[in-house]
Amino acid sequence: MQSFKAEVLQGTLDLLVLKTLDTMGPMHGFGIAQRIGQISDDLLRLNQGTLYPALLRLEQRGWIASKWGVSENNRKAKYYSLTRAGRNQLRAETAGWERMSAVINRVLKVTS
Amino acid sequence: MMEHLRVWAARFAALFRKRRLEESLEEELRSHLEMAVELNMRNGMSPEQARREAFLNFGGVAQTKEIYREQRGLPMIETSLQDLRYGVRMLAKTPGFTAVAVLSLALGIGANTAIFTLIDAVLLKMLPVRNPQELVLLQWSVPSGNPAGSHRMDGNSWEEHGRSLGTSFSYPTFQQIRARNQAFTDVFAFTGLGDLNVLADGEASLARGQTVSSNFFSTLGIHPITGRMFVETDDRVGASPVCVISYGYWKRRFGGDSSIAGKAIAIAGVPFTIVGVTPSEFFGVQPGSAIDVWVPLHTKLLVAPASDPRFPDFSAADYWWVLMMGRLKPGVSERQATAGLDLIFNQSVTADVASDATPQVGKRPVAAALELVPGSKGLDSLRRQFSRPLFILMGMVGLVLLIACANVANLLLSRARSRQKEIGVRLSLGASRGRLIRQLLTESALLACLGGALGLALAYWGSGLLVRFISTANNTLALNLTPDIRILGFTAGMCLLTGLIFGLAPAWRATKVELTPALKQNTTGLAAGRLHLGLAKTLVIAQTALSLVLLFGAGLFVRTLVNLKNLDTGFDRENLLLFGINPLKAGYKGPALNDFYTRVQQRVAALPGVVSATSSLHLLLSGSSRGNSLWVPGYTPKAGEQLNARVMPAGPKFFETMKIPLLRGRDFNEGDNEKAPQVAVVNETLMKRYFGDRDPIGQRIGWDRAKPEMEIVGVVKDAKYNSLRRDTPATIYHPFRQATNINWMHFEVRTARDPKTLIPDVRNVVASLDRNVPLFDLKTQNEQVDELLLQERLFAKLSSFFGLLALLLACVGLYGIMSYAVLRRTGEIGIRMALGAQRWDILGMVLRETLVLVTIGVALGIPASLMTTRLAASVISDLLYGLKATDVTTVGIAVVLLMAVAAFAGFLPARRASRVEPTVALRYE
Repeated sequence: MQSFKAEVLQGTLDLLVLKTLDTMGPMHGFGIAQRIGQISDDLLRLNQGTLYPALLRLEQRGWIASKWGVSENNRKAKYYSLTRAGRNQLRAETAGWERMSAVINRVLKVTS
Repeated sequence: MMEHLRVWAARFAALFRKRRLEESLEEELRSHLEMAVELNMRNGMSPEQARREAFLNFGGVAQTKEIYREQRGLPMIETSLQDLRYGVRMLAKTPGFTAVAVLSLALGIGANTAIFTLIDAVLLKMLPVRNPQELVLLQWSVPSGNPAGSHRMDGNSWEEHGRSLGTSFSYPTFQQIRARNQAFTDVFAFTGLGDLNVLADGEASLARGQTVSSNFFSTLGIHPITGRMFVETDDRVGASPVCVISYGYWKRRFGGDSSIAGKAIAIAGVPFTIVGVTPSEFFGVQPGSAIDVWVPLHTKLLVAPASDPRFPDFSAADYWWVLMMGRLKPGVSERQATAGLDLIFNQSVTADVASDATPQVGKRPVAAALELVPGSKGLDSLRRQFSRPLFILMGMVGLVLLIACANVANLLLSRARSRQKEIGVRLSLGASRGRLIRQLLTESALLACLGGALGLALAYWGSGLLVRFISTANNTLALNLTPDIRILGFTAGMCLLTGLIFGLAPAWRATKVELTPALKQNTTGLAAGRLHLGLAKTLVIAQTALSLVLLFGAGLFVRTLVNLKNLDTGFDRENLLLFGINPLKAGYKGPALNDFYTRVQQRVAALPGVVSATSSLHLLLSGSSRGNSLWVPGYTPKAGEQLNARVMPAGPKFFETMKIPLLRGRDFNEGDNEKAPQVAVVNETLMKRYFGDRDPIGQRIGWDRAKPEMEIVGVVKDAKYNSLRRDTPATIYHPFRQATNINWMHFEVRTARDPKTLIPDVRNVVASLDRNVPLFDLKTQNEQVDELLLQERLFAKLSSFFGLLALLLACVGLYGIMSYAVLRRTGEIGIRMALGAQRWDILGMVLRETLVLVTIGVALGIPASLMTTRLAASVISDLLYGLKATDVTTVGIAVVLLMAVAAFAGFLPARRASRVEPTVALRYE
């Protein structure tokens, strides 16, 4: 398999963040960036900086909440956690994503 | 939807916690990077490498922060605030420029707001009552003449668009409509009583009175602030007389006495009880005239007895005197209501027409149609009187504002020129043109707002002044001038509009910069700015043309006023004191009334300082007159001609006192009384019209064919009667003791010294005869003429003020542009002088340039002026007197004035140019 690195799409990043917080519980920004990198086997190239405007956007919409806390290495860090609205949103977006990828897969199979 | 709202709320809230959020962001990113470095080092990188890797993975920190910030707050608002701060700094740096610009705008916006405040108060404001939009005023209309079934009419009727309209009805009609209508929740009747003589706490004074049906206040929805309003049982014959007083009268006359309800006073000698006080904002239903005392309709018989017993006020269907206003039921349209009401109205009238015993000969009266007009703003006599003048004034101040805008635009242009370098730098550093235009527009909006705020203050003060100006001593206009939302909106809109008008073009120009020359340029270079000066010159030319229009208009109005004032009225207006009395209101009747008039005249004539004194029913040039049909034996009327004349019941020595020259015969004297044979004096016009070459002395004339009872004993030269503008009418002077219906009397006192000094003496005379008789119309004849010429004076004074204001603004603009031109050309002037040009040549050169601009402005201004005034005069008749709207002399005066002032404005920079030292100038860049 050829190695490739893809830019993370704007809407997709939101979904990835929500999913990460859903499975891992409250995390700080750096942790979220690490986690997304690990899960995708570093196949997704994430400019870590872009994570922060995304976190702000999600927070403004009320899907995540933030709180200052202390990291495992005793460092002050801002922790993000999923809200109830965020959980609903994740469910909706996951379903949407699955439908979309199924459709695309089917189209690709037909034409190849 | 909710989600969007949340996002915006969060963003908006972020505006106010900017510093905390910024610190928080800083800390979060630092923490992220430190964690990344730490992890990298743990994975075996050198500190240097770990740091590099961390930053690489993160991407641009500054970029991230910028994106984050944009996401966090409202960038539009934030940059606007930034622009605003910058604008304030820039304006503060050039206080002279700011002051001139703000002052120009304040004058322009202030003048507009002041006139608009009046328009608002007179034309737009609703009555301060419950749901005013439901109110309608009842009105009748006929194609011409009087409506069928009305023998006697008191109240307003007027001609409009070829129809006769009126608002008074008979009391039976009111009763029918109130009882049978389907359209109103209620309908009330009312009519003015004029000034009532009120005796309270032992002191007599006049109060503006109105008589109203008992449901007046309840229908309007007015609740008393103390006591009660009228109830049904107050408005009956024989009910004990009660009255309601206004808040203003309560404060003024009774010092706001809290136990006023139940207080006994006397109105026209009849005991009344005050039962309540209306709220402070309620002034009645006629804007501009505030009522002091309301009495129930049926007490009219007590306070203003019918002068003619043939017309019983309440039962006669042919005496039309009450006005009606109704409150439409919710959901009933005016059109639906009109049909039903018209039916009731015409039934109540036709019942009467059938019994019409004496139909008028000639014109057969036509049945009137009932109409409803919106009553939300009250009666509209003030609107009819002032709406056209106000719109003309509005047009004038609009022009003034345009000139002010041109001024500020010019100032901004010249400032933009000196800021070219700054703008060039900003453009080359990557600022977008739109962003810079926005910045410059923010500055002009700021200027406009400052000007507007100052203008609003000016307007508040100015509109009060205006109202005092159009009020006369005897007729104070009570208008509510408190700025309301409409006025504030008007001013705000004005600021926005002016900010755009004067800001957009300079901003556009300023940002159209060729970068390289702009950066290299030092502010006085020769290359750029030619084109810019072109725009500035265009603005100055436009200003000149516009101010010529205003000056010309002002000239026309001033000359109209002068023409009217200098008009030969046929009598001597100097040293003449006037006053009126109304003994009827103190109970005098019949012969006692006439005796009282005679006694006053005799006592006043005997006062020291009085040359002679006389009396007449109406004052000359007061706008009031009496007219009558006429019968002249020996004169054959032309086909369809109706003989008529103005009639002036007058006292002894009338012509001597007024200095109206007697051509033939004699003046009136004490002997011309009830018992003596009836006599008359006629004027020249009447003599020429009805007697031709015959000698009228000794001839007889009369009011009707039956008996030509009056013998003509004198002929006088024509003297104006009720109007200055109209030709002197055929006039009959008639001894008042031989006339009927002399319900009040005016006196004319010819004095040897300043007539005003005799006012206390005159008051004493009347008070010594009977202190219950109120005095009114105390003024000099010249003041009376001023009152008659109210509108003309208003136009003359205000248009002069606005015209001079426009001239001043235009000259400031001219001065500015010429100063700037001289400054730019200092180098050139230096070269010219070095080459041998004399100071006079330089002075002449600059002056010539000024005059070229002004001449172009005048050349454009003259046709514009003529067109404007012709248009105004065609829309509004009676605007001018004694000259045409295209008067050449006035154009000449305006042009000379404009040229002279403009030459002075141009002279100052020209002199500065001529004093340039060549050695300095050549080194000057």
